[in-house]
Formats: sequence, structure tokens, C-alpha cells
Amino acid sequence: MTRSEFTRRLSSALGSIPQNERGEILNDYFEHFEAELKKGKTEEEICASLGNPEEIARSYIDESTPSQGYNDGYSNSKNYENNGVNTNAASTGEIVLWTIASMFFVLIAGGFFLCMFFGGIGIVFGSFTVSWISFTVTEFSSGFVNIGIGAIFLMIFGACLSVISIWCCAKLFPTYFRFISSRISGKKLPKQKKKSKVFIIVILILLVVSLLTAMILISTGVTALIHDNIFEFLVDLVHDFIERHAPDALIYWEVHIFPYISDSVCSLPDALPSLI
Amino acid sequence: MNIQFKKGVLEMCVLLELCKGDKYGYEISSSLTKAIDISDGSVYPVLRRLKQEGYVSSYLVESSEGAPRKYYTITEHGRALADNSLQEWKTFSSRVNMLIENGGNENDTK
Repeated sequence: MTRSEFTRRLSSALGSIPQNERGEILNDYFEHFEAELKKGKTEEEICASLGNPEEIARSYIDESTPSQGYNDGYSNSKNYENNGVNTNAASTGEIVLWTIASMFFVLIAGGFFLCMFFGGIGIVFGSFTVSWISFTVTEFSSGFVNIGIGAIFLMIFGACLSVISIWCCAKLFPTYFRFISSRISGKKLPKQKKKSKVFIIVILILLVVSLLTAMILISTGVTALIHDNIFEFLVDLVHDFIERHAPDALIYWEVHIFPYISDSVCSLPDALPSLI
Repeated sequence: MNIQFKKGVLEMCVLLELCKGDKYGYEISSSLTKAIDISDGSVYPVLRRLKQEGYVSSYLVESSEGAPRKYYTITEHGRALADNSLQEWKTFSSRVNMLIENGGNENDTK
């Protein structure tokens, strides 16, 4: 047997041991080969005295099962750390897990925040809207209606987000943990049936639809409000301009022009702009 | 000689070797294989397990001739285990010897 054959066979027989530990083990044999070669032995001889690589590998795998260590805290904790064959096997998996976990915790927080914040706004705006509609319907109040309904949709969005976050914690994370623990114990994970797929798809659709609806409604509402405000603002600006630079023409503006262009603006109650 | 016999005492022998002073893997392996005729490959797994369980620790030493060498040093726990094992071994082997002598006598008489 040549050195490379020995190494290859040992490496593949150590397959169940994680990469970095396998590297350490192979390094021990690398050192052994180097030392023996320096002594003038041939690769053949060295391999012969080392023994069967598969058998060597088996002794590593057997060795790493829990053994009755010296009974004190130190070696116990050591055992705890190192006895599982793959202490570091799940390192990639763990990184992925914690990335996803932190993402979803943000989502949970975000979901509840959105739910409460926009829901609150929705209720406030909605009630104002309802009370306002009962008096008069103008351009201005349609902006309120849109924002109010949009905020209610945002509330639905927040609720869906919360449901998804909870679902992730209840279903997705345990699946992930099982996956990782199966990698640590080296047992194969039994394949699970995918339940509640329909439920989560419905929630996801609701999530997207409610968000889109809310965005459209709110943006149109805000546009309407801004439009009204800008209109009123411009009218005021013209009024101020005339008052300052041509006071004589003010009566002409107020009597002949202003009533025609700002019928709807003037009909708004004074209280409304201060609400925004 | 029976391989199980050797395996049992190998751990103790490794610890006793390290009680004499820090050594690198190959040194331990070659001195043990010379003494008790085991395959060279059987020492490294034992060293690794002893390290995992905290009985020995290792450190790298730059070597003038090639790659750095991994030296092993025995810990306090390792020393305690070595003393313990040695004590057990002595009692055990003396009893076995006694048994063999008695058994041999019995066999002779039968």
C-alpha cells in the first residue's frame, strides 16, 4: 500500500467524522509518515506497521463514543463538548439557523409592531372618516377614507405577519432543530409529510394582497390629502401676494376669482387641516 | 498476543510514557510499538481520545526539519488516572498471576 492510498482509505473510512477533526487525525498520520520516512523506511513498510486504515478509522469512531471518564467537573464538561462525534458538524447549519431565527424574530416584532401601530392608526382614521362622512363628502375626506381603509389592510398585513412568525417558531424551527440534531447524532431524519401547506399559502397570499391594497389605498389617500393641501396653500399664497403687492386688486380677487376656483376648498371646515 | 489485552493497557502505557515528559505523537508511538508490539496506528486514536477527555493536552512546536510537531503533555487529571490505572493494573495482574499459578497447580493435579 502506498502512502496516498493509506491516506485516501483512512479519510474515506473516517467519513462520519466532521471535516476539521478528520483533518487533525490525518495530520497525525502525516507526521508519522514524515518521521518514519526520515528514518529510511519505505511507504510500504510504514503502512504495514500502521495497520489496516479501515480498522484505524473504526477505532476513532469507537473511541469517540462516551466513556466513563474521570469523575470530575472538568472531564465531564470535556466529554459533553467532545463526545458527540460532530461537535462542529452543524456549524454551517447553525449559522443558517440563527440567521433565519433572528430574521423571524425581527419579523415577529415587526409584525406585532405593524399590527398595533397601523391598526391603531386605522382605527383613529377610520372613526374620524366615518364621523366626517356622516357630515359631508368632499375631496378632502376621500383621502381620509382611503388612508383609514388602507390602515385597516395594514392591520391585516401585520396580523398575517404575526401568524407567519408564530408558524415559523412552531413548525419551521423545530424541523430545523430536528435536522441539525439528526446531523449531530448521525441518524437519518425520517421524511416528514408536509401539512398545513394550504394554510400557510393562504396566509402568504393574504399577506401580499393586504400589503398591496394598503399601499395603494394609503398612497392615493395621501395624494388626495396633499393635493387638497397644496391647492389651499396655493390659494392662500396668491391671496397673500396680492394683499402685499397690490392691495387695490384684493377686492377684485376676493369677489371675482376666488369664489370660482376655490369653492370646494372654502367649503372645508377650518378644523380639518389641523387634523392632518 | 491477544489484541484485546493490548488495547486495555495501551491507554495506561500512553499516560505513563507522558508522565516521563512531553513527547510528540511519533515518539510515543515508536517507543510503545517497540516495547509491546502493537501496530503503529493504534496509538494515535488513544492519544486523541485522551485529549478529548482532558487527560492530555497538546501544543505545536515548530520543527527545524519540516512541519510543526504536535507535542502532548499530561494534565493533572491524566496523572491521577495514570496512578489509578497503574495501581489497578498491579493488583489485577498480580491476582491473575496468582490465579494462573493456582490454576496451573490445579491442572497439574487433575
